[in-house]
Amino acid sequence: MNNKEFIAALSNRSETTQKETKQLVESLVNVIADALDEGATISIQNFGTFEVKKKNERIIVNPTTRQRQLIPPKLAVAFKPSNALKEKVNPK
Amino acid sequence: MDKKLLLQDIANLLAEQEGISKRKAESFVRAFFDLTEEALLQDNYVKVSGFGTTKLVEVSERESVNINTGERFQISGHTKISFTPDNTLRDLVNRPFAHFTTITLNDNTTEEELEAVEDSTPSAAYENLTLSNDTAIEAAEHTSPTDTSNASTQPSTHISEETQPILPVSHSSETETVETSPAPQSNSQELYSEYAPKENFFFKDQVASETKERTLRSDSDTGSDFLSGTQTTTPEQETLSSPLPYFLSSEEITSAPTSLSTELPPQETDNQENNQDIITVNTNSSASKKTNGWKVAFIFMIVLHLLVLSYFAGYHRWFNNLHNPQTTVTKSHQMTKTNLSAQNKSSQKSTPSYSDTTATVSKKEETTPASGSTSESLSTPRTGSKTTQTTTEPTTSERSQSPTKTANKSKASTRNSYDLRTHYRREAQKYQQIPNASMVIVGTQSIQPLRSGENLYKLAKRIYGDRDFARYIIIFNHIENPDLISVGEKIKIPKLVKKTELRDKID
Repeated sequence: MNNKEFIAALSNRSETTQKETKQLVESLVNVIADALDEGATISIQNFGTFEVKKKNERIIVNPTTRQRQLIPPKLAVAFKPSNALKEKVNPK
Repeated sequence: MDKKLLLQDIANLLAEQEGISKRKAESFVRAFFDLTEEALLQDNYVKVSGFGTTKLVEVSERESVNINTGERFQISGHTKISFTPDNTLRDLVNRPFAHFTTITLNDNTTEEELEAVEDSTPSAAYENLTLSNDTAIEAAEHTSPTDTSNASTQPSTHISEETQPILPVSHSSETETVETSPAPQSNSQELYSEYAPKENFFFKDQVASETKERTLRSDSDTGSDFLSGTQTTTPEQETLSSPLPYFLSSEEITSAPTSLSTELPPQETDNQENNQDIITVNTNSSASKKTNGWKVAFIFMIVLHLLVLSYFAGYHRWFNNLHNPQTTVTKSHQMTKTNLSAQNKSSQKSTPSYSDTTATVSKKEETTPASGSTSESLSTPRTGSKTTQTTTEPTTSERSQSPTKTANKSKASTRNSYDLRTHYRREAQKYQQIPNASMVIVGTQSIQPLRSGENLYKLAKRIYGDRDFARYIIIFNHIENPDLISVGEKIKIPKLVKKTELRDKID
């Protein structure tokens, strides 16, 4: 489901126009992004947790050229699905 | 920074920003994630611009191995949820580190150095960063006060910069030193302990070159010899910064322990040329302080030297003949114990090979009596009991002996372990083994009567610390049904050896 479809489906559900929905989604994404930027963890019940994790720097070697490169450290958003979501995805 | 936001918090923030009621915002946020979940199950992927893509990824079934028992088991195929943040979100979050770029490392660094760098990645890699990108990191520190780890590692990089160059200079041929040079620590005491490996290498080198033809006595008073040797052989002063206090003359040893702990940190931070000056100044000042107890300490040191001398002269030969057989005898004794009556023949078979090694070992040690091939077990109680006043003294004397000891004993130990391996391999063939297991049954360790309320798994947990090891007990006792056992039943506990230890090591 791409962004367009997602907003359409969401507007159906929340009974708002697509334009409003789009505005709300953008705004929500901004709120989440700001929170993550501050280093906060966002935990959504029955869905999962978003958090920022630091990835250490590392050295990679290109196997063909033997060229070695130092990959700098970085901060990345990590998502950890909740058990409830995992079970839904993996029906027994 | 450990702030945890729940759905309600997000909804409140959204309501604030959009000027809508909190209830509406909350239902919207809830709908957002509910829809994401549903769409995920329906379409396998959801893409929200500015946020990211949530996807379902199929993980196929794969085989894995229980690391304890070597048992293979299947990790069944499952679906994984993956979230890839949108580029805008990714860049926003990574903004504190955004200025970093991938650096292509120089070609002239050799493969060995690379391994060393990889081993000590946290320090070495940071060092690389600081070398090429020093100002950038400091800038990052200022721009990202959120990242505490960066700030904490920053001071350590300075230390690493200063310690790292020292080590390669002193042992340019030995790349191992780079590996053993631990991650830099700011604690002064730990810095002090860092010198231990370095010292070892240093003395190993020297012992190899110098002490080959030395007799016992000349070697035991190499305290002064070492000093002169080190001064001539290594013009770089920094290698001596730590050995120096140990092997000055005895007068200075007395003053050294007190000034050691305070001295070493400044040595670290100061330039190499200054090191010598600082040491001498410090020792002098502390020596002048201690003039009162100086005479006592001096006499005490003489006594100590005499003790060491007599120890080397008298006990060395006696000890070599006695101690080495002892260790091997205890080993073979253990084996005979474990093999019990059933395997008596085999142990008899194996003992000749041991006596062989002991003979060669003792011979070797007699022919090459380079300083103390002494065991710490003897030297520690001796020096420890006599030197109650200076607590640092036993450690120094021990340290000076240990490198030579290891150098001398390494040959013998490899030979010894080789025989042990062949013995184990022979033993292992007698018993039924678990295929693919990480451990090999090489004999009977003990015989345990089954306690009441205990099953084989609990027994395994008690003996080996892991219930998975019950497999070995079951196969060793040829138990057909592990659930049908009675209290008091004699269970033979197998002696296990790691399979990797039986392999021939390429030295």
